[in-house]
This record gives sequence, structure tokens and C-alpha cells, in this order.
Amino acid sequence: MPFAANAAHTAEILKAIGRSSVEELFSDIPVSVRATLDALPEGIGEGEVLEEVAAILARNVTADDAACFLGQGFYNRYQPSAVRAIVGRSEFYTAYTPYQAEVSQGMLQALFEYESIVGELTGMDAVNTSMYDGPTALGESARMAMRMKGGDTFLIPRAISAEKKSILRNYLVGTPGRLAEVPFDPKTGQITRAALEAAAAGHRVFGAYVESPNAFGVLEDVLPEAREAVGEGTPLVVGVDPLAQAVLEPPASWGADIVVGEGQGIGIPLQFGGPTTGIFGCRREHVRKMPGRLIGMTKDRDGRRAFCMTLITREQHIRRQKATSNICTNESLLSLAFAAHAALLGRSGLRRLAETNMANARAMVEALRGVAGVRVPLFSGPYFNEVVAKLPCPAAPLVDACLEDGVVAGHPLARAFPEVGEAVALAATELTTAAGVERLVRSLKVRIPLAAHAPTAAAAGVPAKGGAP
Amino acid sequence: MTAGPAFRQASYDEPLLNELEESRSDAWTGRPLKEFKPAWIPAALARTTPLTLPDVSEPRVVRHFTRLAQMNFGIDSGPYPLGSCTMKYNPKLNEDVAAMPKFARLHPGAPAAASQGMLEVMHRLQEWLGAISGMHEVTLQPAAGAQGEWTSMLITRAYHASRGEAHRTEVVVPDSAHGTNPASAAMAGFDVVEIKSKDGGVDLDALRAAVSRERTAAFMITNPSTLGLFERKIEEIARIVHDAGALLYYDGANFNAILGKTNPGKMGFDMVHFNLHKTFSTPHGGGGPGAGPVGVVKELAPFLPVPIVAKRDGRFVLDHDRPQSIGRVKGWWGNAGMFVRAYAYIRLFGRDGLTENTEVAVLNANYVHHRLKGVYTTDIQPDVPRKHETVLSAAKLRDERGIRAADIAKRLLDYGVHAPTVYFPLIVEEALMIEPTETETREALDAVCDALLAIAKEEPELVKSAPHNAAVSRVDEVEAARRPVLTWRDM
Repeated sequence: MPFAANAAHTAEILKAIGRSSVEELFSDIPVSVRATLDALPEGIGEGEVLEEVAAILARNVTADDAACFLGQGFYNRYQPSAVRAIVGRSEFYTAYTPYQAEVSQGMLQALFEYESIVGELTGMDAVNTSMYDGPTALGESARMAMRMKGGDTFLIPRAISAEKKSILRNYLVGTPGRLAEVPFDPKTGQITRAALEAAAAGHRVFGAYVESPNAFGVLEDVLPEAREAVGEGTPLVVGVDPLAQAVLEPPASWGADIVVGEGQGIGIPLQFGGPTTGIFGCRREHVRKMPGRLIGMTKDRDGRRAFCMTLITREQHIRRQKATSNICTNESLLSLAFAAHAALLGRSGLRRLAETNMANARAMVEALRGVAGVRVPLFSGPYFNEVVAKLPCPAAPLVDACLEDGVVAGHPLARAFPEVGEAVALAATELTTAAGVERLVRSLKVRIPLAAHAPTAAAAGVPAKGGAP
Repeated sequence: MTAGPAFRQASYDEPLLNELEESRSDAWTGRPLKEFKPAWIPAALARTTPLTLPDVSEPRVVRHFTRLAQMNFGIDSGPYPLGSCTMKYNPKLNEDVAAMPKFARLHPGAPAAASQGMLEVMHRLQEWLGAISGMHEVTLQPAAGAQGEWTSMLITRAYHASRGEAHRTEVVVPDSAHGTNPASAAMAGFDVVEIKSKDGGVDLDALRAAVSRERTAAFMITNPSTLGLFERKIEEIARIVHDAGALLYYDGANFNAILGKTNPGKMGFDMVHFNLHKTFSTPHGGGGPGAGPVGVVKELAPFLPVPIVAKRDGRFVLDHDRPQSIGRVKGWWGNAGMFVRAYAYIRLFGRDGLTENTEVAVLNANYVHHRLKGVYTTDIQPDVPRKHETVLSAAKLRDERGIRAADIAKRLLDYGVHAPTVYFPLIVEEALMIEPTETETREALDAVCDALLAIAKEEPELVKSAPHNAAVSRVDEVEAARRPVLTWRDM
């Protein structure tokens, strides 16, 4: 084997350590618990592995194979070659957590830059190096809100993904915390100040979450008033799309205490949903209650600028069961990718990328208006790069049918939002082309009339159970 | 300093990104399909706060990060015997597999008909991990080892609740456990009960005294322990735990020591997490990503997170229809990038190669243990074979020469060797926890040992003022915590 380095020196090493066989080193494992790997296949060569994996993955239909209009937190964005080159430096990707600061200055500085860039986008004073992803960052925010203020209810908008709700429920297991939903206005797709106030008044609220853009792609106009609506002293958590933040005012300006978000859209490939990075930031006064790893700037013994992990007494390897979170392995390399892409874009590039995403979404919407029976955007609220399209037929089979035309026609919403009915969320990005949009429109024009006579999901007895996107 | 160690790390006064000079006017952002209109953004929400991030040319950005990379030490740079972290060399093949556009460009929301290939990889991996661990069913969803632990604790709660035994509110852990164990149990709402170790293993009397039918939900341990010692009484431990109606949890961080020799199912465990980024070979990425799949016995399978990849009529589906499931713990389907790497790794080595890797990992740990134990000491079963790692103490050197484990760790950096884990496990004073893994050559092991033995004889002042050959000298972590500078706006 090419990697088991000392197979060739086994005899010498055994002699040096005074053992007669390798098996002797395992003699303390009782015979009664011995097990082998008979169920696994035999090893094969590198070339054969590549061939086998390529053959299996060939059955995937990727964003290269079909015009992709999927979103819901993950977007088909361009990853520049320079990002791959930077993240591909093995000094970065083969390092462990930078416990030994002196030989890890490169990763530490890059992560400090990541924290600073996210600080610029969100206005937060302290940003950790990563949570696992957007939804788990939201879960951690609810736990942190509970540490900040007692109570039993975490307010969430109805218009966030079912996946996030399920994850949030798990992050609150073992606490008194429960979720209460703030309804959306069926016309705008937004929460209103009145609804937020009503929800906040009805419970012992320990935190309130507002997401903009929300699961319908709609920006929440209520943000500037959210602080007042939930009341001083109640932690306000705001969920963002980091790219949209290039053109949107930072939530800090609206009084947010914590900002969370999915970081995939900047520098990170789709990769079937992971790994990605979860954005998590907070105001300075709450920093000792926050989860995750923080990098700080300091000096070395000679007075040179240096970086290190800091405020580690919040973490599990020091505080054990009293830690603010159990997180250890995180998503640092993806935060590096985020920072590298943001650095390549600069402030003008970030803004223009955001504007291009908005423009292409509008081009997509205009084209879709020509499809009979489709109402798009279903909600009148302002949107960033994703919209809901109401369909005259069941969404899931339609999406499957459109696949045959080389189009992934969005994300069915009926299971998560039965009240919205048969609908899809459709997203555009800078990679959306005129030809792709045309293909989407053509496919829908052909497929909808064919599907219109099929029963709806509800009528067909498909359970409206949450969890499945 | 005479000859001394030969390592010299690159050292740049590289500015922060926000200190770089503006050097370009444009970056590629795609040609929009129509002209952008500011009116699309509601005036009340539009950004007025300026964004501080310079527009820097691509070559300057690449140089910036290249210089930073040169000031970073990875497993490709040199030995990295960081105990409990399994810092082994990972085949470059893995990176090529994960970079395949047929994977990297697959959206997680793609309908099942568009993701059959990836679902097949996941299905096979679920089956293999089940076989490797002796567990009935596996979820790939948790994002890291700690999340796998927490997922298992959520399953533990759901299981006891389903039997009307929600009164079981305690989780027992040994004092040698990884910090994530008690943290994960607490995060799932359990009270943590810590029991003292005896001669490096579980004290059966302490365990018997700690578990009860009234309170105990689970016992969490890793075997081999964090001392690198195999717990020989594991079957008796399983009996004690199961007789109390509690569950036995296996922390899979130390899987590298047992693959092909034993498995948690055989040992009597009910749940196990895997660190795909350790034994199953994803590079650690400066702290992550990882993946923490969880395997469970049949009785616990109904509680696994949804969805599980299932095969129905020759097609792969994401099965959400599991009514007793705890729900979701992570967005989408887990860290799929680790699934393809683990798949490639298992396929490349196969049953014999994986077993051989375990043997060499254990052989290497014993070699290091043997070479060092006269100077760095242990009184915990000193002559019993180690498994994947060894824990030795620098207490003697502290008493005789005034140098501590932290100083030795810093000085080792000067030799081009990453430091071992220090001050862990907590039950050994001045602990150095050394895990060489199977991928270090004897030459490298000798270099690590020679360096550690040389340091023990060096001038204490030289050791205490180390490192001298790293990008920077000893970093002031106390000042960093006292006056936190957390973003460039704080400067």
C-alpha cells in the first residue's frame, strides 16, 4: 500500500520495540470482540477508483447538464479558478485547527479577514470562523438567545424552510424553548409589523428571528421596525444572504443582536449541499455568549502583529459541558474560500455581482409571465434573486417532466407550505443565460398543458409532512 | 545556537486585505441579462453604510493568500502527531474525486431523478459504514464528530421517551473523555455525570455506582481510550450499562486503531459516530470541514434523522417517511464532499488495505511510545501495547529542568514537527498526546523522537522562549483575550 508508510519496516520496528508480531500489539483485544472487514470490497488502483466513481456520478444531472433554477439557500454561482487555487494550497487544506498559532499564522490571518469581511456585510462586531451551515447557525442563534434572555418562545417567520424549522426544534431539545410562527401576508409574502408585535406580545419570548430574503425570496420591509416590534431586551436574530448584503443595509443598523446566514453563495461549490460555511456574528456585548471559534489579533514576543484563537474559554475543549456549544470541527476551509472570493471581487465586484443576480432574476420573471397559467412572482414583496411561481398543475411531477427538456424548473413548495398550493421557488444567478431562460419557458409551455389534468399533490394523498424540501 | 534544527518557516509582514492598495477597476461578475435598476431595492433597505473592502487585482490577491499559505503548517509540510486528531496524509486522489464537476456542480435540491449517481454513492457508503461498525443502519447527515455525538444524544432521548422512560436525564462520561462528549450530552439537555478512571481505564465500581435504572440514559466512551489503551473489560461495561436499561455510545474519534480488528457492534455498543475526516480521509482544512455519520443498532434505527438514502425498485430515494425520526440536524443531506472522499478511500484500500493501515498506525504509535518512554514518562500500564496513540508526561522535565509541556510543544515547531496535543487528557499532568498515524515513515518517526529527546536536554531558556524558527515568535494569547481585536474595524 502506498500510504501505510512502514509496512516495509515492520520487522525492524517490531524488533526495536521487543514484540514478535504485529498481532501481538492487538493481543489485548479479547477474541470475543474481534471482527474483520469481510463485508467490504477489495482495494483497487487509483485509476480504477476514478473510473468507478466517474461512472456512478455520470447519472447525476448537474448545473452543467441542465439549466438550473434551484435556490433555497444554495445557488449556482461561479467559483473563480483563483479561489480553487487558493483553497487548493495544501498548507491550508492539510492543516488542523490552528492550536499552534506560531506555525499557523496564514490560516489565522485569512480567518481574521473572513471575520472582518462578514463584519462588513452584516455590521456585526464579532463573527466566528464558521458554523456547519446556515440552518445550524440559526439553531445555535436560538440557543444563544436563550442564554441572553430567559423565556420559552423563539419567534420565527412562517416563511422559512421546513428544514430550518426541524433543525431549530432539535437545537432547542432539552431547553424550555418552543417555536412560534409569525404568519406571512398572503399578498406580499412578508411578515408585518402588526403580526410580529402580536406574536411577541402573546408569549414569553427569548428571541425573534427575521429572515431577509425569506424562503419565498422576498425581502422583509419590516426590518427597520423589527427592533421596536419585538421590544428592547429581546434578542433580535436576522438571517441574511451574504451576497444580497452587498446592496442591503447591514442588520446591525436595524438593531440586530445576532446575524446568521448560509455562506455557500460566495466562493463555495454546490457539492450536493455541503460542505459550506454557516455565518454567525453578534454584537460585541454578547461575544462571551457566542458559540464557535474566534480569531483575534495580538502581538508576538517581539511586538510583531500576530493572530491566534481567542476567547476559547467558551469552547468545549476547555469548558466541557458548560461550553456555549459542542462545535469542534467546523468549516474553516470554506470560510477561507468565502474570503478569497470576496477578496477577488472587492466591494465593487460584490455589488455588481449582487446587481447582476437581481437583474437576471427579473429577466427570468419577465420571460415566465408569457407562460399561460403561471403567476410569477406570486408575492408582491420586493425580491433579490429568487421568486415563487404559482402553477396550474402539481409541481413535483412537472419538475420531473421538465428535467427531460434539460431544465431543473425550481423547487416545489407544496410540502413545506401547503397553503401556497402547487408552486415552485425559482432562482437566477450570474450564470443564468438567456438560452437557459428560454429553455425553461419553452419546457413549461409544453409540459404544463400535459400535466394540468393530473391530480394535485394533496388530492393524491401525498403527506404534507415537513422536512422534505 | 549551534547546528540546531533545520526548519525555517516563511515569514512575511503581509498586510491585511483592507490594507492592500486598490489596483483594478473590474472583476468578472457576468453580463447581466438586463440593466440593473436601483429602484428594485426598497429605499429603506438599501445599503448606505459603506463597505470597506478594496478592489485589488487578482495577482495581488493570489500572492496575498500564497504568502499566508507559506506561513501555515499542514500535514504536507511535515509530521503532525496531534493526538486524537488522526492527522494522516490523505490521498490526493480524494481531492480529484471531490472536484469532479459531476459532483461539485450538483445542486442539493435536484430531484431524485437528477441525483441518482450521488444517491448511489451515499447508499453504498451507508452500507459500508454499517459493516465497518457492526451497526444496523447509518445516517450520513451530521456535519462533524461533535454533531454526530449530539445527534446520538437526541436519538437517546427519543428512544427513552418512546418507552415512557423520559426520567432518564443523566449521561455518564469518563474523566478521560473528549470535551465534545460532555458538551454534546449537555446540549441535548442531559445532566453530565463524570466518573474517575482507574489505571487509565473505566473503573467498573465507579461505573456501577453511577448508573441507575431511574436516571441513566447513556454511557459515552471511546475505545481505545484517549490514552491509546484498549478497554479490555468492554463487554462487562456493556453488561453494566444495558442491565441498567441505558445505552452505550461509541465515540468514533479513535477508529483508526481498530478498523479490521474489532468493531463497536461486537463490543456491545448501541450507537457510534464516525469522523470521516479522520480515519476515512478528508484533509482537516484548518479546522474543518468534516462529517460525522452515525450508526445505530436496530432498536434505535427508527429514530435516525431524515432522510436516509433507500433503494426502492432499483432506484435510490431520499426516504423522509420515518414517523419516529428525530427530524433534521443539518441542512440538506450532510457534508457530501466528505462522502465522495470516504468512498474513494474505502474503495482504494479495500478490506485488506484498511486493515494494514490500522496495523501500521498501531505499530508506529508503539514505536514512538517505546523510544520516548524513558524521558517522557507514564505510570499507566507502561508495558501494555498502545493502540493509535500514546500519552506521555513531561512532569519529570518540569520538576527537573523547569520546562513544561507547552514549552516543549513550541520548541518542537522549530524542528519542523507540529506539536502533539498537550494538557489532554486531563487525567495526566503535563500531558503530551502523540498520534503518529500510519502515514509517517520510520525516518519521520525518528525525526519526531530525536527532536523530543533533544529538547529534553536543551537549555531550558531556549525551550521556554521557543519557537524561534516559525513565522512569528511566541504569540501573546493572554493579550488577545484581554482586549479582543476581532475584526479590522477594531484596529
